[in-house]
Amino acid sequence: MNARLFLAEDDVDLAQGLTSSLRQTGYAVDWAVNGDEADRVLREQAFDLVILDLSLPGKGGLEVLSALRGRKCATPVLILSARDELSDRVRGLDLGADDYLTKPFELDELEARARALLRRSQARSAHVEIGGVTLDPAARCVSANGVALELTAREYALLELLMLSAGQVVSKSQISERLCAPGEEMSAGAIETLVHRVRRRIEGCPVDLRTLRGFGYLLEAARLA
Amino acid sequence: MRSLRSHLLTEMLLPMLVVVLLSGYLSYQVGVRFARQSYDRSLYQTARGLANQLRIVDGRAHIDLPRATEDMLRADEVDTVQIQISSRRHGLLAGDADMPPPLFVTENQPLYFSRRFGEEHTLYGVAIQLRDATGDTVVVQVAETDRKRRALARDIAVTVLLPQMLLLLLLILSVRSGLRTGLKPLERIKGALRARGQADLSPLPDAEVPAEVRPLTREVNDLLQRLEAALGVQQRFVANAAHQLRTPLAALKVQIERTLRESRSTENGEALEQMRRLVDRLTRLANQLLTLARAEPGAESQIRFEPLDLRALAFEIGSAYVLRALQQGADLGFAGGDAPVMVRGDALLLGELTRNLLDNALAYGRKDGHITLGVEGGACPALTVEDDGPGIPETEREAVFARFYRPPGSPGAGSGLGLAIVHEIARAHGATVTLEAPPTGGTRIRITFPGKLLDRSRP
Repeated sequence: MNARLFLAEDDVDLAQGLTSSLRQTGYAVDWAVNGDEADRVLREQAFDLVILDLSLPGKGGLEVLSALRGRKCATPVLILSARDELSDRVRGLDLGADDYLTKPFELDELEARARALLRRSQARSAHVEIGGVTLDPAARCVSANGVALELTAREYALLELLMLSAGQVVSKSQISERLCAPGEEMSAGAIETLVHRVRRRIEGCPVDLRTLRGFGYLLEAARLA
Repeated sequence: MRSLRSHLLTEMLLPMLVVVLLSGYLSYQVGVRFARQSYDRSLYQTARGLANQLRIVDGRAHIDLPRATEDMLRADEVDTVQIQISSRRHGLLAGDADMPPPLFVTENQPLYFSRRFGEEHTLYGVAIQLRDATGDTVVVQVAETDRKRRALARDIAVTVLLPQMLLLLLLILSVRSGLRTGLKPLERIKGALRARGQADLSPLPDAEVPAEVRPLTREVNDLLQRLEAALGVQQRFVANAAHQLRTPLAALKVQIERTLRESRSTENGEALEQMRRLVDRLTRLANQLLTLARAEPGAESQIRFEPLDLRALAFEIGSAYVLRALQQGADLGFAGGDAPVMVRGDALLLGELTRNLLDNALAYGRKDGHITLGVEGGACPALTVEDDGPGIPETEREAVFARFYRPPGSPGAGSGLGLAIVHEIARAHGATVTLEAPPTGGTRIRITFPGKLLDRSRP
């Protein structure tokens, strides 16, 4: 899979730590230390994911982002921001960033978010596999432990949503939004029934579909006790 | 330190009391003196009348004092009257025999005297001496006991002293009420100072303050201003320091996690794991100090109040805590309905408030317990975090909001700043923090926002 990542981060220590970890995980990582350099590199080369610090010297992260989106480039962008740069973060999402992380973050979480973003952008082509459940977005089919599942359209849509956001909380309103036509809404009871059915379908696979009281649902590979 | 009021009261009332008592005493003395003079005069007139009765009969002094006349002279309802007329040559002419002769009487000059009479009375009298045609000296004495005089003195005392006492009472009352009105501006300042929270460093209003007190209020206002400036400098310093700390901490954390992945040796792994926890603690502490510096009194100008959906904010932050709670084995739930709950606030600070409440619930609740993050709409929107841990004992409920407070015997990682931050942020929003003990045990902390959207960004 060897996706190409681009990191724009001005703190040398943090950037070195990140690049070497991400390389270790198996990504190809390029790194720019300021906004001007980041902008130049992004104009010349294509990447699968951009990790962008908001407080870059020179051109700021937001400027780099709006230039990128201005060129109609759809590469997913993950924003890194300090917790108190809230308004910048909101502006970043408005400008077309796909997700954000506040510093300091867990390396695992950064990689989970990066994986999710890559998965979503590659969803049209690539297979996604979590805990024995494999999703083929192109064929719109799911197999559990190698056996293809027969799913209704709604069941498939729900499972796809959960798998593409694996490791993250998916709220009922997100589910309703994804599964219904605009203007329609799914009742909480209908969602619960649907989730119950999907859970039964993937029973036996090392994957957990957790109900989070009041928050929604979360799908993740089963934890090793 | 004595109070100003009692000081002024004693300073003014003691001299007044002395003056009033002295004037009362003098009036009494004068009254008694005039009363005595009038009694003495009537005694003198009696003596003179008797002297006029003196005749020379057979070449010697003789007085014709019929029984009836003498009885009339002695007729007195209260006092005993003594009369004596005696001649040097011939001794007692009439009256009482047992009156001692006066010592130094001069002719035509009445002598007033007093002497003891019986056990408890005094005898007041007058003696006059005259020389008759034969050259003999005759002394006429008239005296009476002091019952009437005493009664009169008592009357005078009452009539003089009673008004004086009333006067004194009036004085005390008017001085007291004068003091009260005089000290009212001070009371007002005291009240204004007591009513304000520690956050309020605005100057004291000194428009209605009397001229004598104005220098004091001016100095206090000066001090408040300097204090506010100093506090601002300190807050900016803490904020900058905390801000600067965070980037190297983030880098350190990534480096540790990277090394942790590479490390094969479990011995190193444990040490690195420990280091990672320490970095987390340091990061949290830096964040908390930064938040505290922003929410503290005096930093209001940096707070950006805007209408925001408390439910959405709580939901977003709660979602980020779900994984952490799962890792710890705790069940974190959300109870807030679907409808937006609008409050006026600073999203950043309210986010920190929620994080601190959740951190606390995870740290001090039951290890595999249930935690519920709730949002309530209605007239007074509220944010609640409830755990089913051991709860906070009644005696500790005040103390938990103090900075660097940590419950006795609590596990390692906390800084003791969490609830202090919650308190400061709530205060800056005009919200109240209440600790509740749900019937099922554990702790519920409720942040109640003011019903009307509060706007403190405008002066």
